[in-house]
Amino acid sequence: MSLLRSYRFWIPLVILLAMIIGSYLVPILYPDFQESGPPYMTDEETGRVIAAPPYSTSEMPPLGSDKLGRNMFIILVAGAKYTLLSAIAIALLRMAGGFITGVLYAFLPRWLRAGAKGLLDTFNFIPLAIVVYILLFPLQLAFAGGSLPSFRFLIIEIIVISLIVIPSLGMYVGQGMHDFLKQDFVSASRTMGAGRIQLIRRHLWPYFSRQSIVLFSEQLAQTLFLLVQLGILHITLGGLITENFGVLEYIPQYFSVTNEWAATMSINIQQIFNKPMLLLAPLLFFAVSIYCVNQISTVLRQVLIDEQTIRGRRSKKLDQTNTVFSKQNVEDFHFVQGRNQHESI
Amino acid sequence: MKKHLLRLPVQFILTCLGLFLFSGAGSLLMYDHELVIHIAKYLHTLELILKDLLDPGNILIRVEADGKDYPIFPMLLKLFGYSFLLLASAFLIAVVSAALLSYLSMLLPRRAHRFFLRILDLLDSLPDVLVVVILQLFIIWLFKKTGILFFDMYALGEERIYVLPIICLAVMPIAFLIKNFLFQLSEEGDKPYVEFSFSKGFSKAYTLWVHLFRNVWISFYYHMKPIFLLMLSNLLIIEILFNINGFMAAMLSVAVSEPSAFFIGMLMIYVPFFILFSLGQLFITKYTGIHEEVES
Repeated sequence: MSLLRSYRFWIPLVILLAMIIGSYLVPILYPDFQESGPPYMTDEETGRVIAAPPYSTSEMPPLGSDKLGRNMFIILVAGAKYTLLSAIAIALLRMAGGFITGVLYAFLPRWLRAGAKGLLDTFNFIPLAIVVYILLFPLQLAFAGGSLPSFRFLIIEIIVISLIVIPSLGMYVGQGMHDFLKQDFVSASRTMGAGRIQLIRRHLWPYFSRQSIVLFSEQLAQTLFLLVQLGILHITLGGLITENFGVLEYIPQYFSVTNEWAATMSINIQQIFNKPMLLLAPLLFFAVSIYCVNQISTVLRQVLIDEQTIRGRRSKKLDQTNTVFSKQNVEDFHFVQGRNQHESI
Repeated sequence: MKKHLLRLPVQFILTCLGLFLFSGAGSLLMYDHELVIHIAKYLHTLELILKDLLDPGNILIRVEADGKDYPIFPMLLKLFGYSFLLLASAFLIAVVSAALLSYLSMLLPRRAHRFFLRILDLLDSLPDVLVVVILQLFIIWLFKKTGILFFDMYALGEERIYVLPIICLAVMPIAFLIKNFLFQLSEEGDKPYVEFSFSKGFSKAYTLWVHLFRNVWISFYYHMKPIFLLMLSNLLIIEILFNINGFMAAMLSVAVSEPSAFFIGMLMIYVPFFILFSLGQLFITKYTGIHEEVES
C-alpha cells in the first residue's frame, strides 16, 4: 500500500507520537520541572544579576521561560499529553456519537427530520466556543472554588466538548447515509427483505467506516482549533486556578495544573506585547500539531477515497462496494468535512 | 416551489425555538460533589427568560469597559452596528480577494498551482489566535522600525478602531474561502459546457471567469452558513484580543449572566441573516431556476 511508503504520512505521525511519548518522559527525566526555575541569572564573569524571569529565548533555550522561570519547552512538551490525548478522545467520542445519531437521523420519518433540521440549525449561529463556554463556566467557577478536582473536570470537559457537536455532526453524517440509502443496490436489498439492522450492518457501517478515519482526523484538527479559542476565554482542559494579586482592584492571575497548551497560552495572554514568546510558543505547538493532523488526513483521503475510486473503475467486477465510491458520495463527504472543519468552530 | 415557500416560516420558528432553548443552557450543568444536570433550574431559567421578554426595556447588560449596567436597547444596538460593520466589510474584502486569488491560481501552471495548494494547507493549519497575534506583533515591529504607528491596535475605553480588526477578520477566513472556491471550481470544471467552451476556442481565462465563476457564486451562496459562523467566531476572538467593546464580547459576558439578553442578541444575529439568506434563495430560484437544495 502506498500509504506505508509516503513520507507525507509518516513524518507528521512520528512528530505527533514523539510529542505524546515525550510528555510521558518529561516527569521521569526532569522530576522537578513543575517547580519554579532559578529566581535570577548572573553574569559568569562579574557576578552581576543580568536576567530575571521570564527569561528570553537566548537566556533559556530553546523557547525561554514563563514568569516562574520554568523552561517553556519542557512545560509545553509535558502538557502535550493532556492536549493531544484529550483531543483524540474528543474526536473518537464524536465519531461514535456521530454514527449513532446519523443512523437515527437517516431512519427518521420525513417530517421529524425536517423538524430536527430546523431546531439544530440553531448551532449554525452560535460559535461553538460560546456554546462550550456557557456550559462549562459554572464548572470552572466550581473548580476555581476548589470543590471540583482537576482530573474530573478534565473528563467532564472532554464529554461536554464532544457531546456538543454530536447533534449537528450526526445530522450531516445522517444526511450522507440517507442519500446513500437511495442507491439502487440498497433498494434491491430492501426488496429482497433486508431489515433495518441488516441495512445498518451491511451497508451503512461499511460506508461509514471507510470515511471514518478521514472524518476522525478532521474532527481532531477542529478540536484543536476549538481548544485554542477556549483558551482565550479562560476555559482550559483541567481548569485554571485563579489567584487575585491586585490590591484594590481585581487582577486575576491564572495557574494550570495540567500545563496543557491552551492553558499555557491562556495564562500568558496579558504578556503578548512585552514577552510575545510566551504566547507564540504554545500557539506554535498547536499550529504544528494541526498541520500534522491535516497532512495525515490529506494522505488518508487520497489513499482511502480517491485511489479506491480508480481501483474500482479499473476492476471488472463492479460489486456494491465499488459503486459506493461514485462521485456523488465523495462529494457528500467533502461537504461534511468542509463544514465540520470550520463551521463548528 | 410553493411547498418550499411554506417551509421557510416553519424553519424560522423552529430555529428561534432552538435559540430560546439554548439560551437557558447556562444553568444546566452544576457541580456539587458530583456533576449535576439541573433540569429544574434550567426550566426555571427558561421561565425567567420568558418573563423578561415581556418587558425587554428592563433587561440590563453590563459593559465590561466601564463596569456599569445599561438598559439593553440602545446599548446592544450600538454595539451591533459597530461589530457588524467590521464583519460586513471584512466579509466583502475576504470574498473578493479569495475569488481573485483562486482565479489567478487556476491560471498558474500546474506545478505552481500545486505549490499554491501546499501554502494554502499551511495557512489553513494556523489557529486564528496565532494569526491575530502575529499581525499585532508585526504592527509593533513596524512601529519600532519606522516610528510610525500605522493603525491603532488596541481599543481603550470607548475608543473605536477599524482598520486592523477588519484586516485581521478578512485574513482569517481567506484560506478556507479559497479552498472552498477551488473545490467548487474543480466540481464545475468536469461539466460538459466547459469542454464545449474550450472546443469553441475560448481561452481558459475567459471560460473560467465568465462561465465557471457564474456558477460557482451560486453554490458559494448555498455554502454561506459555515462561512458566516466561522466569521462570527473569528469576530469574537478579535474583539477579545483587541480589547474591543463589541457585540460578540458583550454576548459572551451576558451568556452566563443574563440569559434573556443573550437570547435577544442571538435573535439579532439570526433574524437579519435569515431574511437576507431566504430572499437571496428566492431570487436565485426565480431567475436561474436552480433549485439547489444543498441541505434538505
